[in-house]
Order: sequence, then C-alpha cells, then structure tokens
Amino acid sequence: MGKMVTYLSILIFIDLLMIVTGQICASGTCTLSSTIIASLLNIGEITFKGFFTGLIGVFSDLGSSTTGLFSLIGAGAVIVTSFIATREFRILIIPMTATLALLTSDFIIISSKLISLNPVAAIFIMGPISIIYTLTVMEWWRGKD
Amino acid sequence: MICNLLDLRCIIVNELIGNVLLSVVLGAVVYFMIASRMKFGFDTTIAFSIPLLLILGLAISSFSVIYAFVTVIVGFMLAFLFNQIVGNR
Repeated sequence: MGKMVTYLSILIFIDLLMIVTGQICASGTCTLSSTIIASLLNIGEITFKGFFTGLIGVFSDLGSSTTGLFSLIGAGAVIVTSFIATREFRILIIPMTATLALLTSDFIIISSKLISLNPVAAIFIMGPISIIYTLTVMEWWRGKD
Repeated sequence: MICNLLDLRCIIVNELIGNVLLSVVLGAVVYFMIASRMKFGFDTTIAFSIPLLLILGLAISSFSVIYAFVTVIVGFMLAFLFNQIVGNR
C-alpha cells in the first residue's frame, strides 16, 4: 500500500495544482482523474460531467441509458460470478485496479504539458514516474506493494 | 544565431552552452560550488538557492516553463508532507 498511496498523493497534488493554476483542464478537455477532480472542484455540476455520465448515464434518463448503467450491471455480474466461482478476493478489486491503471493517462497528460515546454526535463521527471506507476498498480493488485 | 551585445540569455543559452536545461543545471552547479566555498551552512544554502535559481531560471527560460515545472515540484513537496502527516508506514 505504501508506494501506491505515495503515487496517488503525488498525482492528486500535481493534478490539483495544475487545475487550480489553469494549466490543464482549462479548455474543458480532461482525462479521467482530472475530470473527477474538476467535478469535485465544481460540485454543483457533478452530474453533468463526462465521468459521471460515462459511468452512470444521463441522470434524468437512466432507464433508457444503453451505455453507462447497463454496462455497469453487466460488468458487476461478471465479476460477482467470477468471485463465486474462484473465491479469490482479488477478483473483486479488478474494477478498482482498472481505474487506478487508467490514472496513468493523467501522468501522460501532465507529461505532455511539460514536454511541450521542455522535452528533456519533462522526460527526466515524468518518464520514470509514469512507467513505474503502471508496475506499482500491478504489484498493488497482486498484494505485493 | 548571432546574439546582440549584452544579450546574456542569448549568449549563455545559444552560444556558450546550447541548451536551456543544461544552462540551469550548470548555473545550479556553479551556485552550489560557490556556496560550499563560502561555508555558510546547509540551511542558508538551500534558503538562498530558492530565489536565486528561480531568478536564474526566469532569466534564461520563460515564465510558462518555470510555472509548470515549479507546479510539479510543489506537487511533490505537498505529497511528501501529506504522506508524513497521514502516511501508513
């Protein structure tokens, strides 16, 4: 848990500082984690944000939503069935692991912002972090972190 | 590229060293060499390095570059503080 928490702290604080200083997410294009944090920064509009509508569907029209709610139910059914069949706890945290792995995109968007300013320094700082983060997620899922 | 007389940024970055990052690194190295010769202690060296390196970076780079990289470094520092406060080690 130690390395994962450290990486998440780094990501969240860099994300927050980048957002509040208007360096990323200024034009409305956010990655997954940035969308979550941008939603939290603007909590009144959380149900209209891309992450919420992508995960749950359109809030006022959940019954006819064909992507969000039904895919969530489908994925949940597969995971619960797999857990019942294998009795392996790690099956249950696959969605969380996938979400954490997707946060790599946030490191990438910060890297691309820095690369546009100074490629050498950006690659030296963000390259190792982005690559080792994916391995840390894998270790975390295996319980070796 | 031919630099104007007394255009220090152009002379240092383009003619003497050739790269912005390398210029900042070299400036930091020179600063720490001078600081070690003057023997004014670790804390003072670090405290003086913050404005000096910031101004050096602004002089040979641009504001947007310094702004982005300092944001990342402050993010690291806040994460370190946060882990010291609520870390689970």
